Amino acid sequence: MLTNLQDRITSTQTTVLVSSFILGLGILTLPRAVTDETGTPDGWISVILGGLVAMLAGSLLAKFSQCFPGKTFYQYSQDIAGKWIGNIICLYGVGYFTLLASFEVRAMAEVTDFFLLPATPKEVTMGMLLLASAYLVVGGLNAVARLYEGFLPITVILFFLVLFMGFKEFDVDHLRPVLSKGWLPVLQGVKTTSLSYLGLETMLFLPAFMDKPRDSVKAVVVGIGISMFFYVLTVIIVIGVLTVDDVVTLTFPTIDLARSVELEGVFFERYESFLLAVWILQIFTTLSLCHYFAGLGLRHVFANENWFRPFVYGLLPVIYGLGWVPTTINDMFAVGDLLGYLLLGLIVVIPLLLLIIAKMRGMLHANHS
Amino acid sequence: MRITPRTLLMLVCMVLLCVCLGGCWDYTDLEERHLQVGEALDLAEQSEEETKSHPMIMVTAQHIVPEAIASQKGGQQQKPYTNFSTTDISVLKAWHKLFERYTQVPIVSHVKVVVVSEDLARKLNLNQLLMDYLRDTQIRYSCLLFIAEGRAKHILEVGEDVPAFELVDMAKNRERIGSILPEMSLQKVSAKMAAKSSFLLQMIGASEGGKKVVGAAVIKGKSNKMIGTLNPGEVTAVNWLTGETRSDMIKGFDDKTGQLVTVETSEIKSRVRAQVQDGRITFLVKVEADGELEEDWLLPGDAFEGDLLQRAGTAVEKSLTQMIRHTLDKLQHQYHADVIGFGKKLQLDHPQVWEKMKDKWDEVFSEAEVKVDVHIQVRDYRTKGRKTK
Amino acid sequence: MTDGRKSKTSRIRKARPLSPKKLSATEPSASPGAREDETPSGGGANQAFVDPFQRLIEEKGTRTELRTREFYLRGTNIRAVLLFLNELADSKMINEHVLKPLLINFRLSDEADGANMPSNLLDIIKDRFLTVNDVIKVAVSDVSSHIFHGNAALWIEGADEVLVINTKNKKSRKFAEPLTEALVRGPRLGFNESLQDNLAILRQQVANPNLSVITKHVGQRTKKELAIVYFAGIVNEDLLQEVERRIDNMIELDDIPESGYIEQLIEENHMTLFPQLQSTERPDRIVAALLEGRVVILLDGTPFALIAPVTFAMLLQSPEDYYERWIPGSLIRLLRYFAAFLTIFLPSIYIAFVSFHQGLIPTTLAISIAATREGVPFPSIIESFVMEIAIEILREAGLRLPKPVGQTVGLVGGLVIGEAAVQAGIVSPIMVIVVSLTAISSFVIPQYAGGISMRVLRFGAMICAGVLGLFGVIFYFLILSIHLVKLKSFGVPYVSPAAPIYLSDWKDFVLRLPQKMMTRRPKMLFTQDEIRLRSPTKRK
Repeated sequence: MLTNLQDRITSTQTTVLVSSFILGLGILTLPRAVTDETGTPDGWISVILGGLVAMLAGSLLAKFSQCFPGKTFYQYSQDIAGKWIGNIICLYGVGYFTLLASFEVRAMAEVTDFFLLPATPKEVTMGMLLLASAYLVVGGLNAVARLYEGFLPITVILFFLVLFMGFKEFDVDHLRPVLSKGWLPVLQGVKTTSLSYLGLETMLFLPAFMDKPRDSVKAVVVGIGISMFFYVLTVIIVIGVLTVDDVVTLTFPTIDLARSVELEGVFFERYESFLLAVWILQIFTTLSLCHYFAGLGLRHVFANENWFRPFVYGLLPVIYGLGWVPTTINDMFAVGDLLGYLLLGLIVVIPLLLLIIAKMRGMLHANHS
Repeated sequence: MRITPRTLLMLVCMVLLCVCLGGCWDYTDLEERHLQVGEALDLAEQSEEETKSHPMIMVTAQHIVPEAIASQKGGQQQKPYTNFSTTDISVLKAWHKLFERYTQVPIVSHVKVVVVSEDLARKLNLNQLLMDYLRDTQIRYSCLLFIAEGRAKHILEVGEDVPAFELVDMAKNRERIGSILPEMSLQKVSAKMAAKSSFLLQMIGASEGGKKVVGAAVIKGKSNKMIGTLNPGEVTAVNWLTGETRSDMIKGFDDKTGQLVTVETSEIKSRVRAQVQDGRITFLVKVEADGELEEDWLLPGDAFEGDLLQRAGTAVEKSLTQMIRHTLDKLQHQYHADVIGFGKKLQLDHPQVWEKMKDKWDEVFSEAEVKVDVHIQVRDYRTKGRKTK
Repeated sequence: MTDGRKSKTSRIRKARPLSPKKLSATEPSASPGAREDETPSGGGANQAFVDPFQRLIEEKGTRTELRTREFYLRGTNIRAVLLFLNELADSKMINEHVLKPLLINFRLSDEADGANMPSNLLDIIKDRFLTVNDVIKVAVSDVSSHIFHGNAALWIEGADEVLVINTKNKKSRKFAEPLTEALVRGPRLGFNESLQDNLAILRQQVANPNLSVITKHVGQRTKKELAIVYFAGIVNEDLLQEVERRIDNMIELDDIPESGYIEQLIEENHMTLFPQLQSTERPDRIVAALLEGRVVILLDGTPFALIAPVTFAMLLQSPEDYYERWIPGSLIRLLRYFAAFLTIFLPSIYIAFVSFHQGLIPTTLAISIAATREGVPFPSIIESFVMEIAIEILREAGLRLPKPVGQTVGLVGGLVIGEAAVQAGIVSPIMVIVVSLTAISSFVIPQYAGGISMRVLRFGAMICAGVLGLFGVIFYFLILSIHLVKLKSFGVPYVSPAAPIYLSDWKDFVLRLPQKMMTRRPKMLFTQDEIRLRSPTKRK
């Protein structure tokens, strides 16, 4: 028992994986994205509602995966739909994850380029982070989960530190009046916010690795809950300090929040470095899990158990290359939107089809224990 | 040896590492940078390059001379700062032209103040003028903005210590004085400009004796241009209305004797309510404060008995109300600019009405009725209650 | 060349004449006196006796420590020869408990007479006359290795086996305070180099029969004794088996001089800076580890014992945390974690901020740094490297110098060199502060092995910071974390209990919560008996 921990993850690790995966670029851009949609300071309500939608979706996916114990999405989609269609579905998943990974790494490179290392070529920052990701992923899901578990407390503490510094300039009136234009803008905002919970698709895969699959629903709900808490807090504090009107003019409002406050005399005085450090780590957590799932998919489609490493390394140039496809920063944001639609395909369209086929073939037995 | 995938990966890593060693692209030591701490923008003499929307702008950059600050030995011969100025059609271009004179690359992350001259503020849209500052990744959002009475360059030249630092300290020195506006950081200015609302900026004047806060500049929301000024008394009134005063000394004249009393006020609270009736908007302003009798010219001025405290309170209430009325009148009828934030109060109390009015708010504001009620409770007279018995 | 430890036939090379000097260089494991043309072990009693011993006796000239004592059993004409090494065998024991009974008290039963030797004479002597607690019978050919362990060999004329009597006179140091793990509060007891003594101390402290010991011998030629100690009933069986398995499969070296060799031979991952076994010379640490369900390895010849498995948290823990009360204990532990962070990352943070992100330091500080760095010829990264390497040299030098001089040189060297360097304008004063803080922080780390790893890690961080600033530091932190996360010590993830999260283990992780709350053994070890604290039962 001590010496052979196969890739089994605990429920806590599942929770951490889900929430770390979700938290990524969104922290920086969400305030603007949601306020653009709603036009009111009620964006935070949209965030909460979006979170609830995501929890529902995540639970459904988890339950669906529980019907096929021990098998990942790649495996049971083949079982349901046959080898060839299953392969196509797998490749769709692989493509989605690869694209997501490249998006995250490019976003990271852009932000680093702005605020930390203007003269350093983005190739270097992207390349190094990708290599780190490969280093982690070849250690298997266990290593990935352990790393995320280790990072979560650090992230939480530093992030809260930075956010609460903004309190000096926080003005509740910036968030009022609440629901001045009614619920319609809020519901419009939910469109954007629910997609920023990009990460619940992991529930198509993770229950296969859990040592207690029946906890998967609880795990995903708590995981989304954690990220929802972060998002809500971010949106509230950012809008509270910067006001709705200003937020929609800024590219990365959260960083501007950190830059607009100076704590005189308290050691560093300027704390955006902490925010950026935390954020880079969060991007990395998203990036490496995508890398892992993409590698997993490739392995499933093309090879057998022993061939994980070559796929992991082989994906590196692909992710890197895809990262360079968007030429302007607007293109990059467009990729983000595209990923939202692909996500819908992955978690709504395909599972629905699979559900129907599975029901028709009588494959769904009562395994919801 | 066999090229296994692992070997291949290690080779790739080594190559990449060598690339890294080859270039530390961002590496520059601190002492090899010019530390820029302040900037001033002025309207320059015209030239052929200029157009109506792009007059020639003079940019002055203030840099620190670190050794001068650090060395405390003997008399201070060396000035702790250096100013560089040049002129061009755009802010950034002018600032950039200064590079021709530098020995080192400057960093602007420590820029603490940006001073814009009156002429420039009256002529140009601040949102356009300041776009470079707002967009730049290095300049901090917490940098303070000022309007200069006269030449902005001059502001950065007077003072004992580094003028930029002194400005910051002056702007924040609001503990016990009510005629200084709360400092406006770039972030706050950006928020106001994005909302197209009018606002005030601290106005600084310079003379041989040094710098001085001379009131505030009124920036109109729609055009983001300066349209006027408020003197320190008017700024006091605005501060009282917004509740931003921490403590202040108000003078008044006693009804009965006509003598002067001065009260130190604190715990200042301001409540503004918006009322809408038949399309007419009324603002009810209630200002309350505690006071302590400081100075009075009454003889014998017996505060132990009698109603001296009440009279003092009434005197300063009258004085304050007068100031406030006068300021509101100026803002509504002369400037047509809501710099106090009444619009926000309307939005909080009657959101629907606000939605209809917000695009022409400054005009609507000018026609709103404002009822002011000031109440100051003078609670004590410190350690001396009377001059003679 | 030699096949296994017990070689019955070992050949001495024909070509070389066996000069007396060379003889002392032959392998001790070779049975002395075995010649190629000799058929060993067997043969007539006399013949078998005389030759090996004769050989040894002849060699006595060259081996002055080899002693023989010929005597006759009392009241008989039976010759006996006692063979032993001078200082290694306890003379007193030989005199009192071997010679005395046989010379003075020996008596055969009435039927026997001097001429006829009973066939079980050896047994009679062994069972009835030798007042020694450890006597065994061995074949003649095996005798020499026993003699070289300090035993005495007793041959009785006519017997074909030899009695080996345990007369080991173990020479060892007195117990002293462990130098490398000094505490303010706690037992001042440290192990010494004798395995027997150390095991004795352990047994004394844990008077529980469940404390089990497995003994093995390691080292091809020196055959040192090694003990695996564990608590039966607590320890996880898989862990124990794994430890045993690794030791059995260890590479055969000539000698295992220190437990460090064992550590390096059985650890999972050589390519890492982090130790996967903890070494300590404090019995109290060992006992605590045993009671948690860990396995301990002791080696004869070194006071340092090994504890397996190890997690990262253990590198930063000290027994003092438990002996003091929980609030100071927790705070000091937090301080240690902070110091560990400082010692790895402080110089790199300095480099990152001074040379990359000047905008992120407070303005007044930036001005002071700029002013003091004016005129310094080196970029900050070179400056850091130079100073750090100088400190490391000073530190190593301080270790080698004799005690009284060592302290002074350390202090004086640091101060003078730093001061002089600043005056000469070679380094900036801030750099000196940074470097001294880092050095002092590294002394806070209680485990020397942990301290070394962090000192080395610091340089990697500096390089990364020098190339990529804060991003480099973050990247380095990332790589380090990934490495730690993938590291396992005997199957236990190195970063337990931070990950996988075993919340109940967190009571003893960063903080040290009150004793009353630590009711269970660490979950990460999957012990047999989880509960270690039971609520007090009423005492009568």
